[in-house]
Amino acid sequence: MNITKKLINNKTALICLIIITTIVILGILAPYIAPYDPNKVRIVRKYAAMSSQHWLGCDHLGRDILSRLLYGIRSTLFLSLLTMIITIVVGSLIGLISGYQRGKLDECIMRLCDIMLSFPSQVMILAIVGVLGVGIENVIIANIVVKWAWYSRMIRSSVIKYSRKNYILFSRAIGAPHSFIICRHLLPNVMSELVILATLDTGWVILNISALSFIGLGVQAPTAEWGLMLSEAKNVMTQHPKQMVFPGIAILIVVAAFNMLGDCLRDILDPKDQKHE
Amino acid sequence: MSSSLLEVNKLTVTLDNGNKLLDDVSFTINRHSCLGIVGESGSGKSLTCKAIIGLLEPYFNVSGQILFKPQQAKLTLANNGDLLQQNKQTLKQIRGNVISIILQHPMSAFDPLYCIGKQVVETLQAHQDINKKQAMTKALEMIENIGLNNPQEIYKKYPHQLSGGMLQRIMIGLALMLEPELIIADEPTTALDSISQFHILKMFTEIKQNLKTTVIFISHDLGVIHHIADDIIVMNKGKIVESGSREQIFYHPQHDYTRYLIDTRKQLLNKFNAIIGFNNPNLITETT
Amino acid sequence: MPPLLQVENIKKSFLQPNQNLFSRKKNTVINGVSFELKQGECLGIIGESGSGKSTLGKLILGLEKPDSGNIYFNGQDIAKRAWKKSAMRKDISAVFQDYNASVNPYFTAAQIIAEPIDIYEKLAKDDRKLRINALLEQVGLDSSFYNRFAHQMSGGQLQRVCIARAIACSPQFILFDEAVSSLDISVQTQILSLLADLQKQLNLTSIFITHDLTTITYLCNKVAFFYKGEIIEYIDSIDKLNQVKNPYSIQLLESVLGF
Repeated sequence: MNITKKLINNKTALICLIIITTIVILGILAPYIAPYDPNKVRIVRKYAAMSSQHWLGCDHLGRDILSRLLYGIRSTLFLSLLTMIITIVVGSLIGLISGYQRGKLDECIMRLCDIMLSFPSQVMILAIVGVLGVGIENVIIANIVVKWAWYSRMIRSSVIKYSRKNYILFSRAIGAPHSFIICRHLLPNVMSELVILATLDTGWVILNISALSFIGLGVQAPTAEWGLMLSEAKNVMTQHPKQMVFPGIAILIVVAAFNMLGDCLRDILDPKDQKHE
Repeated sequence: MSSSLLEVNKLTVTLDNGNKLLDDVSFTINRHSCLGIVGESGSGKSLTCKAIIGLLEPYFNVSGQILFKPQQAKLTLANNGDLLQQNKQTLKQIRGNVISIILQHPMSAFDPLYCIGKQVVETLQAHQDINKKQAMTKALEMIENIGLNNPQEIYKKYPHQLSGGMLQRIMIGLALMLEPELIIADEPTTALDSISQFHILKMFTEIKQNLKTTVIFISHDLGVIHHIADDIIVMNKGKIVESGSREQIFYHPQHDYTRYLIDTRKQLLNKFNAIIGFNNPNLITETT
Repeated sequence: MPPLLQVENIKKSFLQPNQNLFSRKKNTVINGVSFELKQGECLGIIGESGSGKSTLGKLILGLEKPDSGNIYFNGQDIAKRAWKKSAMRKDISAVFQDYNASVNPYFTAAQIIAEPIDIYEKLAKDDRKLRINALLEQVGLDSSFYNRFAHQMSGGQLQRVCIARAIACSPQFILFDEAVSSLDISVQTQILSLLADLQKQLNLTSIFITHDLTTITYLCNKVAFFYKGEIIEYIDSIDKLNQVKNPYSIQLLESVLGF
C-alpha cells in the first residue's frame, strides 16, 4: 500500500529512519572505517584531547574513542535488535496460539503472562542475570524472559479482535485451513500493531543492555559497548567529561530516533487517518 | 404563516485540494414545515447539516450564506443572521437551544458511564435555568410523553440496557424539551429495525402537528421521507438535483435521478404490495 | 427428495459477561429452533435486533456449536469431525452485513474473490484470472475492479465483491446475514435483483436474515418470524403473508412504509 509513501512524506519519520540506517551501516562497516583498533591500549595517549589523529580523543587507556563508538554500534545496537527479534518471534507465536485456540490452553498461557507481568521487569532481569551469571548472553535471555509476555498479551488481544471480523468468519464458514487464515488474514493485520510496539521497545532494550553493561553485568571489558564505555568513564567524570559525553550522546540519539520513529509509525499506520484521503 | 426560518444561499464546501463536496446548494425552509433531504450516501446531505450548525472541521472551506431568522428575541445575530459568520459563543448558544440535532447512532450519543436520567437532567440544566428537582420531574414527564412505560425505571437505566429504538426516542424527547425552533434529524431511523423506525416516524408526525417545530429530516429512504416531509430536496454528488413539494417529487418527478430513486424504491415494494394487497393503512396506491 | 438443510431443535446460550469468577449464569439466545429447507428454496428470517437471528446464522454456518440439537446438511451432521474436514464445506457460503469488515483491508478484489477458489480448486494462473473476471461480470462489475482495494470501492460495489466471493465455488447454500441492510435503498434494490437472478441461475438454496420485511418479500418464498430466540410464526408460502396471526408478526407487517 502507500505506507512507504507516507513514511517519506512524514519528515520526522524520514529523519529518524535515515539516522538509524546510517548508524546501522556505520556499525556494519566499522572494521573498514574505524581509524584504530578499538581495543589497542596505548597508555601514552591517555586522555588525549580531540585532534586530527583522534577526532574524539582517547580514553583512560589511550584507546581511540571514535573507533570504540563505531565498534560499540555492533554490540549495543545489533545485540538489542537481536533481542527484539527473538522476543517478538517467541511472544507472537505464543500470543497467536493463545488467541487462536482459546479455551483451556489460552487460560493457562494468560495466567502465566499475568505472573510474568506482575514482576517489576528491572528487578526480574537482575535476578535472572544473578542466577545465570554475568555475561551478554544471559542479559539477552533475561530480556526475552521478561518481555515476551507483553507481546503475547498484545498479539493475543489483536488476534481475538480480528478473529471476530467477518472476513475471518467467512473463511471459517467455508472451511479454510488454519494456515490460510493465520498467514493471509491475521498476520498482515497484526503486523502493523507489532511494528509500532517493537520500534518503541527497541529504545528500551538498548537502554537496558547499556545499563546492565554499565553496572558490569552485561558486556564485559574490553569489548567496546556504549554502556560499558560510560561505566569506564564515570570515575573520571569531573576531570575528563568528554569520555562520558560521546557514548552518552550516541545512546541518546539512537534511543530518541527509535522512539520518535515508533510514534510516527503509529500515526502513519492508524487506519482512521487513511479515511480522510 | 409561512415566513422562512432558514435560508441557505449558494452553500459551497471545498477541500483544500479543490474537491467540491457541496456545490451551490440553496434552499429555504418555511416555519413549521418539514423539509426532507434525500440522497444516496456521499451525496452531501449530512455535510449540509453540519455546515448549518457549524460543526465542520476546519479543513473544509465553506462559502455562501446561511441566513437564520429565529423568533427568540434574546438572541442577537450579527450579519443579518448569517450562521457562517457568527462567533463561537453565539453558535454555542444556538446549538441545543435554538437548533437541535438528532444523529443516526443513538448509542454513541449517550455517555455509557451515566444513567439516562442523569444525562437528561444535566443537559436540561445546561440549557435552561431550572433547579435539579424541576429538571427531574421534567425528565420523567418527557419519558412518559414519548410513550415508554415505567419512566422511573428507565430513568435509572444505563444506555446499554436500552434498545436503540428507545434511546433514539429519548434523544428526540430530549431535543424537544429544549424547545428548539429547528430540529435537524440526520438519518435518525437508519440504524433501527422497522418497528422502532415506525414508532419514531409516528413521533415526528405528532411533533409536526402539535408543537409546530420546524424539522429538517435527512434519509436515504424515500419511504421514510414520504411519511414525514412537506417539501423535499433530492441531492446527488453535492448538488441539488430537484426540489419541490412532496406531491411534485413523488408524483411528477422531473429529474432522471429522482425517478431512479423512486423506481428502485417502488421495485422493492411492488412484490410486497402484490402479496399483501392494498389493505395496509400505510400504503398509498400507486400513481404514475 | 430429502431436505438440503435440516435444523432440529437447536438451543444456544452464552455466559453472561462481567460476572465473578465462579458463577456461571447463562443467557438463552436460541431456544429450540427447528425447520427444514429443500433444494432451491429461500427462507427469510425476520426479527428485531437482539432477537438472536444472527446467532442462528452462525450456528448454521458451524461458527458456533449449539448446546443441544442437530443441524444436518445433505444428511450430514455438521458438528461431526468428518464434516469439518470434508470438501463438502464449499457447498456452504455466506454474505455478511458489514461490508467493510467483510473483507481483509490488505486484499484486492481479485484476492478476496479468489479465496474459496484457492482453497478448494487449485487453478492455473490464467484459468484463475478468467474465473475471477467471469465472477466479477456475473455480479455486475467489470475487470477494472480486479486490482482495487476495499477502500477504493463503494458500499454497493464491495457487497457485490462479497457476493462474487460467496458464489465463487458454486455452493448449494448461501446464508445472507443482513446482506443489504446497511446500503442505500436504491443500491439495495440493485443488489436484491442481482441476488434474485443468481438464485435462478444457480438454483441456490438460501437463508436471508433481515429486519426488513420488504427485502424478504422480494426474494424469499418462506418466512420465519423470529422473536426472543424462537420462531413464533412460520409461513411456508410467501403468498400467505397477509394471513399472519401472531401480534408481533402483524406489527412487523404494519410497520412497512409504502408509498
